Amino acid sequence: MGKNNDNNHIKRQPNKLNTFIKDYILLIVIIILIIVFSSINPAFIFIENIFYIIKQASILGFIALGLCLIVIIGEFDISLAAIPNFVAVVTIVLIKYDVSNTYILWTLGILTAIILSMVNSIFVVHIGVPSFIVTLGTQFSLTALSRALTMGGQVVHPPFIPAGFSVLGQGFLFSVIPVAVVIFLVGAAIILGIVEYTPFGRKLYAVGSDPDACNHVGIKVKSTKMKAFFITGVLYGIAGILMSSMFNSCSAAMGTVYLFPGIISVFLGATFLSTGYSNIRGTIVSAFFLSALVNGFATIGMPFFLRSIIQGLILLGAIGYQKFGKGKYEISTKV
Amino acid sequence: MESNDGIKSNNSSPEESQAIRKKGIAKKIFINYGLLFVMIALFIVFSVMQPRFASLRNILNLLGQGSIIGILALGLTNIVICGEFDMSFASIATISSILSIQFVGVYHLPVLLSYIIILIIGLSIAVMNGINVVYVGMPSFIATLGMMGVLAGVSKWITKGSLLYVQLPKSFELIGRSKIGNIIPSTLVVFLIIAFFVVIFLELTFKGRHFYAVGCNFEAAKRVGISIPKIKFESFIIQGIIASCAGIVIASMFGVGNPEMGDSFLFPAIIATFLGAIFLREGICNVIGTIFAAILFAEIANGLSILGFQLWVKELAQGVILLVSVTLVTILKPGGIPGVKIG
Repeated sequence: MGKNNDNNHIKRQPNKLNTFIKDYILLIVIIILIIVFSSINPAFIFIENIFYIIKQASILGFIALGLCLIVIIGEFDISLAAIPNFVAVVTIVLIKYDVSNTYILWTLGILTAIILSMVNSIFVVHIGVPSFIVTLGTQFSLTALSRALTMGGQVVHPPFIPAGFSVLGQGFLFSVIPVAVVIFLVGAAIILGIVEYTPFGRKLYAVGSDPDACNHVGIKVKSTKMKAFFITGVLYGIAGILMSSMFNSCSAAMGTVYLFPGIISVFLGATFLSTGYSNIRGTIVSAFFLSALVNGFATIGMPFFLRSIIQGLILLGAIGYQKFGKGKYEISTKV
Repeated sequence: MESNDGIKSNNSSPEESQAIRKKGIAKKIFINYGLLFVMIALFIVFSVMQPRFASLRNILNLLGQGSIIGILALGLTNIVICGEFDMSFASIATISSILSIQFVGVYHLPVLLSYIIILIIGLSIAVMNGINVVYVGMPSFIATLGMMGVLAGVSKWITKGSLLYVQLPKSFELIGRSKIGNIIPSTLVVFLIIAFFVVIFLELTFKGRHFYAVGCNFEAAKRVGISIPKIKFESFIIQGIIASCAGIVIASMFGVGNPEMGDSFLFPAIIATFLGAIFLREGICNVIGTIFAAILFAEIANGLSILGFQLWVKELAQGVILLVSVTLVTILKPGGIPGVKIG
């Protein structure tokens, strides 16, 4: 009888290799992909291409980081693409109205994004409307407004490009490193530092996992959430001005390219390090991954429609792999 | 002397409690039927500004145009009632529409046979969604997001990135472009048939009540003996069939296979579903509410375009109405409204 009891308490230790694979599956897949792509077309790992990938990833990266913050605090934001898009539209349209100081344009752009994100947060945090529905409303309204400002959704080119306007999106540091890459690496490092290594960051995670416990411990849920929305607004603003700077034009639909990859990045990032919850490192890695995928496909000449399929399959595969065998009716977050 | 037997007693006079009860009823009517008031008010405003709006022909026309969003929203309502979510329904409709044009126009299969094959295909996609969510355990938002990406890519693959434009037999237009008695749009008929079945199923059968039960309190439903995986799986199946029907109607209406078609229906249908949750059930998704919300959207779209406004005004109006109505209900209803499971 004693022997039976002992056996009941011994759990089978998971295989160390299994754990390692589960934790780093994303990185492993990236490395495999890099090997595959560069063997088919060596141009893939030229340093210029690498920088190009990171430059393409910068807009997606800022948007995904913004969404990641919102997901960490337990909400959702489907206006992740509409706000940067609107910022880009506003920036370009302002040039038409003779605002030619680049710094003013950038500041107004980021300010617009902050205001929009705070509008979201007032509905979500103070009034208490579910965030999915609120951001659905703002997304739809902003898309309509973008279309209004761009006369029906055409691509709008400003009459002239103010001095220094395209530096952010198209400039190069030391003639080799795109400015956008530098901005993204710096921004990502700052966000990583804030969220993963400061008490404020821990509060963000705390608010997301258990607001009730936070109330009992003394963490102010409402103001923490509003601060998160504020930071997200800044990130969306940077993404927006990067967009307008990179393309020197705007349209009401330029944001749609980032809508689903942004969401996928955040949820794919949750599989990184097997955390099970969205985290900054995972989001950054996933954003790079998705951009590298797009670039790699173009480099090896794969047809464009496969991109969507592969993105979807990777998302399904990654989440499925983590979930397979775990409990099925877990209580999940309602946003 | 105070009667203090531990039970809280409301010491207001009979007149005061009457007044409180009346205010409560007024608030309830405002919340639950507010959508109806908005619909009637808008109808009056639009008819006054443009008398053509109130003609029978225009009303039926308007309803016919809004039917596609209505059908898609009905399908989504099933799933949201169960407490899950589905982002892929628009892509299921897209691929169904493209396949129907492909089958009938390129492979020259008989129309009815193509429809049946497409319904089966929609069913299998829904089964895959169901397996992902219920048996693998993926959160429904993510699982259907992935499926949406896959289907969108497959749609582009079939049409090689451009529009599918082929000769189609006259019978193909029956479902989407004909008018019964020369006045009732066929799309409206399809919408009404599907709405009829969905309403009867969800509101008047036991199974339907189980759907609501699982969505509202799955713990309690489980203890009562309702099989939650089965219910959720069935909701995905119903959704898949309805989305395929919508795809068939879309193909018939437009006559062209467009892989980007689904995107324009995705968000309006989602908004209609959540707007419908306001109606009748104070924030809980329900079928009648969805139907009314879809009709309201059609009314706004038609009214604004008859008055000569550009396209974006309609979308702005829809977004603002969603925000305003959801905010009002959240403020007025104690406890707020339930959200969407992202998990």
